[in-house]
Amino acid sequence: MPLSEARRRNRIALVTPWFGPDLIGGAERLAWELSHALARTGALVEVVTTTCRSFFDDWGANYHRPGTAVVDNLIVRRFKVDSRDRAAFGRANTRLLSLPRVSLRRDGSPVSERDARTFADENITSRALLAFLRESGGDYDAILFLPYLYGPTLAGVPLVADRAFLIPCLHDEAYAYLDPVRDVFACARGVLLNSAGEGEVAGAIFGPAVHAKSSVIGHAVDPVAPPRSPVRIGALAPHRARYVLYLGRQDPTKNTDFLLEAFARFRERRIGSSLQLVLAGPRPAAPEDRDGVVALGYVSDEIKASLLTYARALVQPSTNESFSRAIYESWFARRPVVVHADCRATARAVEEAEGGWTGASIDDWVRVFTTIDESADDVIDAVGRHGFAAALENGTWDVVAARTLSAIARLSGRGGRGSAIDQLVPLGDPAISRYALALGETLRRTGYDVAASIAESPLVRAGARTIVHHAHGELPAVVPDALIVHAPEAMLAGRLPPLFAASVAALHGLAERGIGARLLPEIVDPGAWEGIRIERNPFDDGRLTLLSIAPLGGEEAQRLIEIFVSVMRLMGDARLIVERSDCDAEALAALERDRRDLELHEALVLLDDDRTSRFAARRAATLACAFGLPLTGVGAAVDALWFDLPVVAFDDPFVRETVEPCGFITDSRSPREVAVLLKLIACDAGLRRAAIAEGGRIRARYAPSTVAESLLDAFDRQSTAYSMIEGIGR
Amino acid sequence: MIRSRNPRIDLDALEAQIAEELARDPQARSSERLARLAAAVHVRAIEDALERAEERSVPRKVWPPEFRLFPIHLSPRLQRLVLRAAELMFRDQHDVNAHLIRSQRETIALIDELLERIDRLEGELEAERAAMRVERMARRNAAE
Repeated sequence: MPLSEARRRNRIALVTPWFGPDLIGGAERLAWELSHALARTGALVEVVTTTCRSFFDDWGANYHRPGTAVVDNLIVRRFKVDSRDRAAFGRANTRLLSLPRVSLRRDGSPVSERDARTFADENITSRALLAFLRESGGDYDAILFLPYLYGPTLAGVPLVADRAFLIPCLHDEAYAYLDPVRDVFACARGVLLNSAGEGEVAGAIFGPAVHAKSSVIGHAVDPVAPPRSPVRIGALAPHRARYVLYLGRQDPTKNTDFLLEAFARFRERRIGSSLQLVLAGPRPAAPEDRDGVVALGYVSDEIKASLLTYARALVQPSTNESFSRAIYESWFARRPVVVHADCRATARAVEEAEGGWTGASIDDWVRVFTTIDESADDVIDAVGRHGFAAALENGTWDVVAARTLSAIARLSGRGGRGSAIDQLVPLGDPAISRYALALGETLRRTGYDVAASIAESPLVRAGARTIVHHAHGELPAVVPDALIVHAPEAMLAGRLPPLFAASVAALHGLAERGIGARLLPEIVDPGAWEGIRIERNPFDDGRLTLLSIAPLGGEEAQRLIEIFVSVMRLMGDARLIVERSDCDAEALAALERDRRDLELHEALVLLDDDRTSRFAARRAATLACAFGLPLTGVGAAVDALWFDLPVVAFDDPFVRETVEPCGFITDSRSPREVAVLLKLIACDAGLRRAAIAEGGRIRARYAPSTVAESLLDAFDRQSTAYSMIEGIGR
Repeated sequence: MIRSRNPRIDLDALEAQIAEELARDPQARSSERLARLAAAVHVRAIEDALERAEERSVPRKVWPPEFRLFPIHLSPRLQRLVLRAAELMFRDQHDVNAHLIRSQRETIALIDELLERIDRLEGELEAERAAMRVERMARRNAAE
């Protein structure tokens, strides 16, 4: 949407517990910078906050004066905070912080309902702020809430859910698993993310439906200017030293213990190495002396710039980040980074930019330190340059504000402003009808007025854009604005409009005939799983769980059981879930018989066709497998990808399109060999991560937002081309 | 043959791993049993917590620098005196803490042993069941 339109329309409130220019902390800085950037677009921005001074002060104490003030171009409304039971909150908080990771389940709260309620109710709260939202929330086009875990967000979002946009700054931490937090993510209109990795974390915790309402707006970082002249910091001269740099708070929550252990292990193995580890940032107490470690504590901006400029690499061991400012600062200084592979937000950024290395274990990090130590400067600089390109692409705060406005327009259904689109669908082809239905629904949600008619007797409204779906026979007489080809051999003639292929097979078919087209695949909407909540997932018990996603006949069911029995033999304990709706009568009879004869009562689950059970099975599954008849569409495999499942399948055209780019296709080898493959994928964390990470990229092709944007982008280009032709004609 | 166009997956290495696994004793059970792993992680979390408790359970010998209580923080002798008094006052509590920590450790060791025994028994049971399934399947296939 052009910014001029945003200027006319947008009245935006930003709700955050603390607001001010001097506040430190990622979310506080984000609130300050984003509100100012939104105001610079011309939008009317109001900040709704409390009178509490900062995160570090008593959350029940009023510091600022309540009321309305104008700060820069913003209207800042402050509301008094309520008194609270600090001790009760402290108890609930301690309980949450001391939970072991194994108790954090994807479904169900990790603490009692009472503790979860205490955490929400005795958090920083303001009844006055909530009353304001209740009374005046409807006056705003959008209300942004950030971050996710404080009172104003937890209690505020449900009050204005239809226009609430959450900027969660989400980490994979115990708070995120609380029911009040799940409620907020479920009811918000949209979720605006700092990074694609944060989206992965949200999907893993809250389920795939969150992807349908998410949009990555990014997070800007200003480059740190290089030092004018070399500086010395005590005995350390950064321009002469060889070191890796850690920038940030030095405490266990940032996983610095892991970093120190990995570095100590590296120094033990490479005694002659001159590579040092420099730690810069606030620390609770003076650290003990360690070999090769220089602990500096808090440093000035000038020293930070110097340290960044001359470091061989920046290290970020934290596993709890939604975005890391230090990484982008390092990339701006053209320095590569090392991040923890278990932190999806940072790991995904590094993998996509190819601006550094990731490692999950101490040994991985030792290997990376060795690489950094042994590599020539040119090699290190080249990796740093990749990071620099990614940092530039990340953009400024004005770019983030523009992305925010565009995401709000799209997720609010105001993108199309009621423009008409007509679809012409050939009669008697259920696959095309299904495709057109999903496309129409998506465009409607984006704000278009969509209608469909039969291609053989087309009804096209005046001024409407026309999409023609074509597979066989003659093209309809209508001149379309977009033509979607569903079959590789479809007949095409004359001057063609923007051309799309509905599948990879159709795309290849057109390419073989020398016709260029863009892929516009069938939509597989993760939002279809919205609204499902399970208190306790019966399948989430740590067992290796295989989910069968292919249709099964009797013979295929038999083969599947043979593979499964081999898996059990290898693993000792496993579960196979088969959906009854995937089986014909013969397959069902074979499975029932084997369950009885082979005593697989608990191990083989035949699932009824209800949404909650299917959701529970996908959430708990370790792997999805398609070892049956050929898939009948892309839906089953892409759906598994939305649940972050690696997919293993026998070959067929839909598997080639969806599984081959990210998962595994195996030939029909012996059951034991297939079982070994399944075991390896289930147990090898690196292999799983690789499949899931690429799966994330592949599933995005089928997301409603991707498909709609691709089509609308073609419309926009066509309009621009027409207006240029008209201009030349005049 | 396994196929994948995922650039992060080394198919040759994967095929080699499969061959290696197949070459092993088919009866050998994988040590990576997920349930056992989860229990081991849990036990490790308890041990970490105990370690932290143990670190804090010994009487302080050094005055905390951030505890600036006039005039004690200026005088090392006064500090030693106060710390000594605190140590005497809480001697019984320290003793209780130490015993509790030790008993927890004993409990963990016992749990560990029991987990191992359960694991072994489950393994034996599963091996028997697996052999039985394969046998029945072979018999049925032969009959068909």
